[in-house]
Amino acid sequence: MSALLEVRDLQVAFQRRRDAEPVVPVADVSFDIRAGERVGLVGESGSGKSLTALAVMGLIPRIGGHLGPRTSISLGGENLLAKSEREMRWIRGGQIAMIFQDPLSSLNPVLKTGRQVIEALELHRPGLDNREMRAIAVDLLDQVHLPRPERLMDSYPHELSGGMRQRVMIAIALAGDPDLLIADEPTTALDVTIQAEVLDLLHELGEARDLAVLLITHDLSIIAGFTHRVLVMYGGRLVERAPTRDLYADPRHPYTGLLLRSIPPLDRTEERLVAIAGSPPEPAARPDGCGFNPRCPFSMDPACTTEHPPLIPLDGAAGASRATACARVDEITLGSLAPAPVSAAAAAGTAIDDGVLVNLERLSKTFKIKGEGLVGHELITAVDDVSLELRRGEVLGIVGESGSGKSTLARCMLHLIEPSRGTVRFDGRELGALGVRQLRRLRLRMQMIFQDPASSLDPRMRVGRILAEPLRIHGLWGTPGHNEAALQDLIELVQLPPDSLNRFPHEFSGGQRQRIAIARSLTARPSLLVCDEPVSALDVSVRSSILNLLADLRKEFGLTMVFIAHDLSLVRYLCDRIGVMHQGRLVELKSTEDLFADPVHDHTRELLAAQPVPDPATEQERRTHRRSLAGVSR
Amino acid sequence: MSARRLWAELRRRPVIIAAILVAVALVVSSVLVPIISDLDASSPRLARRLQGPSWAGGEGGLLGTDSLGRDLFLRIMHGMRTSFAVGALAALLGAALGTLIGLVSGYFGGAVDAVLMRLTDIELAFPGILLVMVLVRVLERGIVGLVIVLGLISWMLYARVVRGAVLTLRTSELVTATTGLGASTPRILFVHVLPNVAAAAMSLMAVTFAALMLAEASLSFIGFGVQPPQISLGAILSSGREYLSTSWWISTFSGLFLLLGVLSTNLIGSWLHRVTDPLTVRTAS
Repeated sequence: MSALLEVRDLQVAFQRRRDAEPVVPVADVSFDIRAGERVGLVGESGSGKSLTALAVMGLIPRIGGHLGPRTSISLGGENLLAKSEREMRWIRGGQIAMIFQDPLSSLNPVLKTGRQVIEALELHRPGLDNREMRAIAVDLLDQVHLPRPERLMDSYPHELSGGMRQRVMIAIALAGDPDLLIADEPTTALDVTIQAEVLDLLHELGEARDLAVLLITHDLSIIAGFTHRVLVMYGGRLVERAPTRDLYADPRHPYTGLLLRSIPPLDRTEERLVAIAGSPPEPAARPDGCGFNPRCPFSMDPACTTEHPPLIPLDGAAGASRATACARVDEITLGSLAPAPVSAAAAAGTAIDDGVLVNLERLSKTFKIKGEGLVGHELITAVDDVSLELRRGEVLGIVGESGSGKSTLARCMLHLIEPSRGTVRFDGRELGALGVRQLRRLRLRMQMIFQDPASSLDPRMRVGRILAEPLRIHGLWGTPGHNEAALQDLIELVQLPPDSLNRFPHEFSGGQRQRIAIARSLTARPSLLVCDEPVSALDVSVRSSILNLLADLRKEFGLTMVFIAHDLSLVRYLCDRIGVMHQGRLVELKSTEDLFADPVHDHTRELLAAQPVPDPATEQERRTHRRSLAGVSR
Repeated sequence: MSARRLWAELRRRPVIIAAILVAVALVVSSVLVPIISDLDASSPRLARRLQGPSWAGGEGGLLGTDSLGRDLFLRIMHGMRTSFAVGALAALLGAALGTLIGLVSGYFGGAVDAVLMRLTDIELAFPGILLVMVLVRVLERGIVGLVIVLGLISWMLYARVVRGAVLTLRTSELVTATTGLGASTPRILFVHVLPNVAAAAMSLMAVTFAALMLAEASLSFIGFGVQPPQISLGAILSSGREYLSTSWWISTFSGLFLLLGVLSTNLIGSWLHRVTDPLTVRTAS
């Protein structure tokens, strides 16, 4: 069967200034997509995956880039690069449709939903009268399983939930009856339960309409049960191409292998994660040779450091459909990868004791928000009557979807925001009863790290100053043990480069910045560390090393930790107990083992069922299961 | 923005380079000429009154003399110096005042914010010239009074811009994180928030500087500004009106130098604003 989409030698270059070398974020990318085939394009930020999609849509010139001289892109045998802009407009939305990460910003907020679907119909199905178009639009909304499509036609985007908006986007994409749908991180902004629904929908539409789907994502887990084939991009090039089942069973490129091994499993508790050193390269500063060589444990001079290894088809059972771009593919065995060892200090660390460090009693937090009309307001209950105890040295995980109140709970716990009702006791002292000065003093012992290290570090301070700030605030800077040398030790502890103290936060990568934030929280040797989604904003390949670091530090300092996440596999790796939050309430709280073995609350089960795992067989099984459940309820 | 990137930006803008050269020449000469000149800029020499410029056939030196026989070039340089000094000091005062108000208003919110922002609205709506005339009556006349007056009518823009920047920072993780370290409110405000909004205020200052120079000249023109014996371009311009048909050089040259001064600083100011304002720079890159 011939290919629907053929991309050959795709190269995308940007010439920022006339005299400068062009930056080439995408090079030598060739792939095919057959009709009705679902293909995953996986890569981290800066890997060039979104640019690849834009190139297929013919949108590269619009963003100021240009394609390489040998690049060819054809759809159904027709050369897309020879098309005029007018013809391309017809093809976009007609033969190739695209949906994006954030459906709110891709929908027009002042137009009714129905109007936006009809607009797509007007562009791509001329000759229909108004009544016909409305009927088709309602039918499209029904096809994406939106409830009461007739009524939805007259609602505005802000009246819909995130998942519903993405369904509307999909309906709009289907309006031109495309052959290929490009979905660029379509579920990244959605909660995990909604994510599963949207992916199931795309899967179903793909099967029913013989629609080819190119799904772009950074998350290897979500495509395991979704795609026929997977393309892995790293540093602007394809590094591996394989049928989905083979890729997960037997990854051949070290990057893919390491990435798969670094995802904490959901079905067992891992002692230690495989970590990938370093961080992904910036498009303007890629290393010579194989793009992955500085981070690869198998890298060898000069085989890996001089030339880009081409994507070579692999012989063997999988046939020519498999290919990998690794110069040493025949010599290495990825099975030999061992998790990073536990540091000596951590190994000699302390265990949980019986004392209670933090005690929350009937904690609630309500926010006033502007209501409808000119005056008056509504109350939103973010945290609703939560009580729990935190023992010294334990790690408590808090999971929940966005808006479940987990971040508010964390901030109330530290009195960073005042709870509306209830009490927090830290080490026996009630925080609400303390004076301002006493509370400030106590803050040294309870620290927090945030999701986005870029926004929690002062951009105008050097790292040395940032790390010294907690000590300066409390007048401890310069006292014994609190000096430049101590900061240097701290830098080494969190594995930052030795010259870090004199640099500014923006000179570091995302993962390194999170290490700076962790170091800052440790300067005053706290007893409690609250981590609010500490790895969610980081690239997938740097997450496991941060998790390992937190696990080490916890043992080394005997830290009591609260670890907030929306990803169950992360909390499974790190936490002793897990609390599940839903609509402000703590609906389930028990030991990690028990929670996974015997989830009681419906919402916990939902989360567990929706959490994607990097295993095609499991994922397919779960989808069948979900579909049968949906069939019953529908 | 680093000095090197600023320089790279500048190299592509010949007009700005020219403006900088003009402004520097004006500042340097307005400081140096009054010092090295052996003439007195204020005492009349009636014998030499209303002499034309020497290059136009007159006998009044470089730019001629005024109605009291004083050297016009020297007086213009004195006036230039006043303009620069008043413009800079008033911009500084307005920026300091406005930034402080914006900082407090944005950070504390609630009633404080409501009161301060209404005050800002009222002053923005109030006719500037009326306010100036009232203030000039109350305050001491002369450079100090003028700086205070101009500072008092120019702080509102800073207050609004800084308040906006602080509002976004206040809810940011930067402030939450610093609170979490145990920092006191003044420390958060002045060590962490202020440096992060200062760039916005400074870039505004570059633009208001030229406007304030012009305001000083205008006030002096109508007699509310700098008082003799201190010399202002506005006053020279005004005094030349009577002699416009016979001694054109007085108003022409004082006006021309004022134009050069305002135009060059305005060009530099808006360029600096464009390349340093954190808001516009972020969207452009």
